[in-house]
Amino acid sequence: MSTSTMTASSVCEQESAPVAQSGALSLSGLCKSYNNLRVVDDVSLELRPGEFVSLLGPSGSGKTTTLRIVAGFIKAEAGVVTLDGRDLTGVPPHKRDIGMVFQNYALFPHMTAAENIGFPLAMRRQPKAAIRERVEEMLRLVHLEGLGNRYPGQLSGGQQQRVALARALSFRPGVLLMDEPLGALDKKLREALQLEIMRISRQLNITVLYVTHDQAESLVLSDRIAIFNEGRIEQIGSGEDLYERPLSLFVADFVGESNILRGVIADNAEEQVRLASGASVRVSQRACRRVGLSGGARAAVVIRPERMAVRPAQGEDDGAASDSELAADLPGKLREVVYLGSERKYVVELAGGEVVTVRVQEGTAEPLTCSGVRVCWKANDCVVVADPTLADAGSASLSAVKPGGEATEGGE
Amino acid sequence: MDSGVAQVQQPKLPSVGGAGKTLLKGLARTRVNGWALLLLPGCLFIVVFFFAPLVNMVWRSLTDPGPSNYATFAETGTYARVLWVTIRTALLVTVASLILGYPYAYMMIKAGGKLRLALVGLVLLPFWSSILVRTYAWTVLLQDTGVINSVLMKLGLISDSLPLMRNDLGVTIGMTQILLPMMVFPIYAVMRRIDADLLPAAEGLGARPSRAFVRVFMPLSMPGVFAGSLLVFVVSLGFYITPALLGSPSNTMFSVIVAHTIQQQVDFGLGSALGVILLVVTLVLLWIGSRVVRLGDVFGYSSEQ
Amino acid sequence: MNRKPNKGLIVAVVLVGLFLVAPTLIVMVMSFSSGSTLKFPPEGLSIRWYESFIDSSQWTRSVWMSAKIAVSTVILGTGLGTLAALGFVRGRYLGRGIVTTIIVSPMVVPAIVIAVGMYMVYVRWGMQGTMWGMVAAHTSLAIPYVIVNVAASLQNFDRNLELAAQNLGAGPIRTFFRVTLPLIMPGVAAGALFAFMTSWDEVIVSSFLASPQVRTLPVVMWDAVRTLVDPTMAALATMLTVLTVVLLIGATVVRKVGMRKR
Repeated sequence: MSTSTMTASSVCEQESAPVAQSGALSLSGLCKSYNNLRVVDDVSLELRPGEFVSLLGPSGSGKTTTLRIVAGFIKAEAGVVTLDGRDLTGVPPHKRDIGMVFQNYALFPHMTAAENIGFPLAMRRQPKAAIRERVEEMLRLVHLEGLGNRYPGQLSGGQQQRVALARALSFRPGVLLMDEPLGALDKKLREALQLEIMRISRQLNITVLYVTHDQAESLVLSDRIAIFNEGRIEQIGSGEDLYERPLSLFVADFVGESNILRGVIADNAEEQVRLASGASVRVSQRACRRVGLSGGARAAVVIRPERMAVRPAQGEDDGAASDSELAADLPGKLREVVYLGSERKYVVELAGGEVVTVRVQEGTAEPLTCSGVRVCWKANDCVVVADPTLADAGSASLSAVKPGGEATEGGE
Repeated sequence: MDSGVAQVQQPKLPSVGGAGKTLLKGLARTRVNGWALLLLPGCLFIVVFFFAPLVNMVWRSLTDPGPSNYATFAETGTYARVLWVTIRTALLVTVASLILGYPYAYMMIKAGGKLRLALVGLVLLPFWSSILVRTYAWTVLLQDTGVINSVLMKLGLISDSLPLMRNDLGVTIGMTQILLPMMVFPIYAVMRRIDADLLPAAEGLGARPSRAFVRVFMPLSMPGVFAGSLLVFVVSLGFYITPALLGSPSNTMFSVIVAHTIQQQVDFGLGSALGVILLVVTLVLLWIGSRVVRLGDVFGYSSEQ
Repeated sequence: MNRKPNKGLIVAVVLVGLFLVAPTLIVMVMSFSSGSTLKFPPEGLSIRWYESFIDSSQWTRSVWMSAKIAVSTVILGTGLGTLAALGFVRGRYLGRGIVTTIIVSPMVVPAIVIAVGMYMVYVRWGMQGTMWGMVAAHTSLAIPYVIVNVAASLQNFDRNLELAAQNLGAGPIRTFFRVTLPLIMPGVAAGALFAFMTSWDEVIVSSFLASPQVRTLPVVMWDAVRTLVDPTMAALATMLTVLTVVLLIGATVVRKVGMRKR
């Protein structure tokens, strides 16, 4: 796989890339419950033609159910799915013209790969010659030329996956749904197929809705990512949006590694968050307002490990640095150093008991050895989110946060 | 877009109020879907051509001439004797087939590849053959002028032919052989699922092989033993062909009496009553058995190869 | 299991194995006897009893009648049973217990009870002594076996395949015939085989429902066993056993071949 195929502008094959005017998928207010449990809770999402959107979230967060509602296998209790302006409510799955790749591929075991790929075309009563041609085309697209006569049982996992992909695309749908298609494969194969999927989706300019619980995968593949949590979409945005500007503690914790310092927003107008230890952290007022927090609300400050800096404490009287850009400069004890080759990870316990991780690129600073250190970061480099948990403000924060149970006290 | 506000879960509806409310809710929620309709033709067919006759039989037993049929059964000594013979024979057959079948099933587990195939074949073939064919084979063997007697006489071991047929002995032998597969399969099915590592583990913990077998393997095979025994016993009670051919006309089993009452005595009322009694006993025993062991395993074994 | 089985076990199993097949094997040998008694070992070998069987119109007529009835039973029973299995596995309905009871009963009720019951009712309906009476009786006995086999196949069936077929453009009916049915075919075939054997070997019920015009092979056998002394029956028994073996082997081969595709 040459890297040139990864850029959106290069097209290797003669496949006429359709101008992406079809494939505008819109989900609006979808709801579905099972046994009085809201599995999909007011899910709305607009996909532009040709866009690659991932539905990312932990198991059971409603992403697969949402996908199946779009496919037509599950009937939503409320909400509408439209494709290119056409309301799909009441349209049975076999009339929706949406491609789908299942988690376990769902290849028909009693048909060859070629017959599988040709199946949707046969269903649309296309002439045999046209079907044969199209099947050959698709086999070439997924690099499986010559393997058309094999049965699924005679193909490897990766090959089966590609047949499933070819089958879903053979009838030129405007939208492709994928339900954790790479889950059953080992790491190397998964990464190779991720590239394949990217290449093909760009080449065909097709809208893709991709369900996964692997955030690294979604970052690689998607134009935008929708984070699912307990049936609701917590945030939609590009990978960068979600990483740099998470709007909730769940998103901050789910995407990438983060340090979380809990506290309360100061009552006075100054942009301060007071931690349990009594230390104050500066945050921008705009950041607070963006997530709707006002004075007195419980909040969490989120800083990515690579945005923190750590330096040895210079004796007892080393006060906080006076750099105006800094959000905070806190004292702590160095607990652990982990050497990772390209970087070093420092685990520091702050005065208030919070544990933070700082990642420092090798070669940018002298490795620390002393135990008394100070940790700082710039105000622009941190984010404020509401803290929904009732847990003690000083508790350890790198462990998974379990949201749910208590509504926040802050205003919306 | 939503802020990081975690939603409160929708609380589950409390199932307060007892069975009535739950049933109503169940009714409301269980919509009968299209697939269920496919059951109708088959079930209707069975109801009309199979159940109606049974219901009619019950009716007949109570009305032709009246419930006195059951009194006749209870009071006439013959029927009590027949019942006793039937139960005794069924027990003997069950025990015999258990003694023969258990080691056979165990061997099926231990055998590899070709041998296991042979053993399975040896037990499948009789199972699929017609009962009549196999009973006939026994008549050939057990007759006074049959194979066993003529061989023994030729070898000079006996001078008069042994009475191997037309008595309980012949019936028991024949039924044991015919019902043996029915004992082997459930036991085999259960044995198959016993973890092969258990016996080595027990031995590693200090148990002698025989002890390990008795304390570990045998208890785990009990469900199969129970299912097989139940099956063989129940079927033996209602067995007709073999007792009719191999048994003595005077000391016979229940099903033969039922047939006799209908065909020779032409007493439909009494015959129906006898049939109903046999049916009820069968169903009660199966029901009791199903409380103890999953009968689905028993009936599903033939498709589980 | 690792340890070699002890000698006692092997001996016991061999004996049991012999016990299982010896009678049938002896009968097979007898069927080639040239003498007309059941002396063993036979004095000479000949196939006269096979000829006697084929020449006898009584026997051949009954074979033909049995075949007609069995085939009808297979068609009717497999059709009704397959549908019912689909309904049983996929349906949502009340009274699952009742339905299960209905389906299981023919396998569980003693044959003599069934025979007596059917005899009394079929006489009244004018079905006693008719071919279709037999077919109705055999079919109701065979349906449960079909259901058990097809249901087993259905339960191993991956429903995602049906969803995929629908997603790819096949409506419910085309999905059933193109995807579901081919893949549950082993179960359907096994059920059909059971249905055939149930009808072909059925003795008691058939005896009660027979008439001089409508007699199946087992019915004729039943009468003959008690009266005939010559080895014609042995020839017939041998032929039937061979048929059973052929069917068994055929069914296993078909199943193994079907497996290879998955």
